[in-house]
Amino acid sequence: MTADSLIPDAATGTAVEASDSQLMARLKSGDQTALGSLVDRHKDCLVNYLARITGHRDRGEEMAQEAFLRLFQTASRYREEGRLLPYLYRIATNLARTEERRERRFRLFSQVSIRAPYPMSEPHSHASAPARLLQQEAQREVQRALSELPLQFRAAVVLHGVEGWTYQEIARSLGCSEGTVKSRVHRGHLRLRERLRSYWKGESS
Amino acid sequence: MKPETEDCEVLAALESLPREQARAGFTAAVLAEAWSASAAPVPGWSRATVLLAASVVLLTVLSAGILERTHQRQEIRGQVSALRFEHEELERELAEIKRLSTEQPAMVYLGGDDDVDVVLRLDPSVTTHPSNLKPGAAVPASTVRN
Repeated sequence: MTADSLIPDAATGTAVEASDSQLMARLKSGDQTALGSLVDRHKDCLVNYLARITGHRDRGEEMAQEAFLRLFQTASRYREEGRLLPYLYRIATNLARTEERRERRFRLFSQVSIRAPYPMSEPHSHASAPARLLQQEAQREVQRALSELPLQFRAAVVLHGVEGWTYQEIARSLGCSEGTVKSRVHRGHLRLRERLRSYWKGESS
Repeated sequence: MKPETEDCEVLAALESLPREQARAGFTAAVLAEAWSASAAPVPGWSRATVLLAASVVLLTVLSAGILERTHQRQEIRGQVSALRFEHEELERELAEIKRLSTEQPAMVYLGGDDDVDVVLRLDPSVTTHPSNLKPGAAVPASTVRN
């Protein structure tokens, strides 16, 4: 919480945290400090989402910065319906889609991967060294399987399974119906399970 | 294994992924970018440049129009003179044909001897009475009236 995000409560006279809507209203009226509060509030979730979507931590962070900048630049066009987060995540998902298309085009010509695959933070764990290695390996495998899903499935699966969003929230963010989201999540899970089955079997044997 | 259990397995795998966090200085970096973007002059042309560009465009359009019109006029003039020339040629040919038709009237030689040639003159305007015939004169047979 930053001082910029605090507003006085009319009833109690104490300072309370401004809502997303209030911060966006301030941003639209030209108060640029509201942007800092919005970034502070949502940066970690957005970086995590984009890191999972892209499979690259640093790229996720770069994209999150870009998403906040787009939010800032398009603030005047934002219509307040209490849906800032779906709006922000839609910007982020569109950025990821554009990036994937660009990479695909580049790969067509170069036939090489642009980045090393799946560089993520080391997980914080109190487990023993071998157990930690196994855990890291399992996480890398899950991330690899996730990265192989088509973006429309990946976004729905991450928002549902990692970020814990409801189907309705995901539908708002991705601009599709709840039924479509359920279908994408389900099919995404099927593909993930299929992809991870051999690894899980190998691990258990 | 039931689908719900399998879903739980996948969900557990997803939840096991470590949560990534923005690095320190993330907010400051975003704000710096936003300030520099908003402080940067809006890419655009000055009024003088716009006027100059508009003038150039206007001049170009006008010149192109004038050139096009001149070219069209020249083309039309050429076509008119060609038609005139053709017309004069035709008139000349017509006059020549008329001249030939009056000077050498069409006739068919029917026969005769050393003294008389009997011909059929196809020009009906000319008539000759037999009394007017002179010995040895060649007159068209078609014009002789009894």
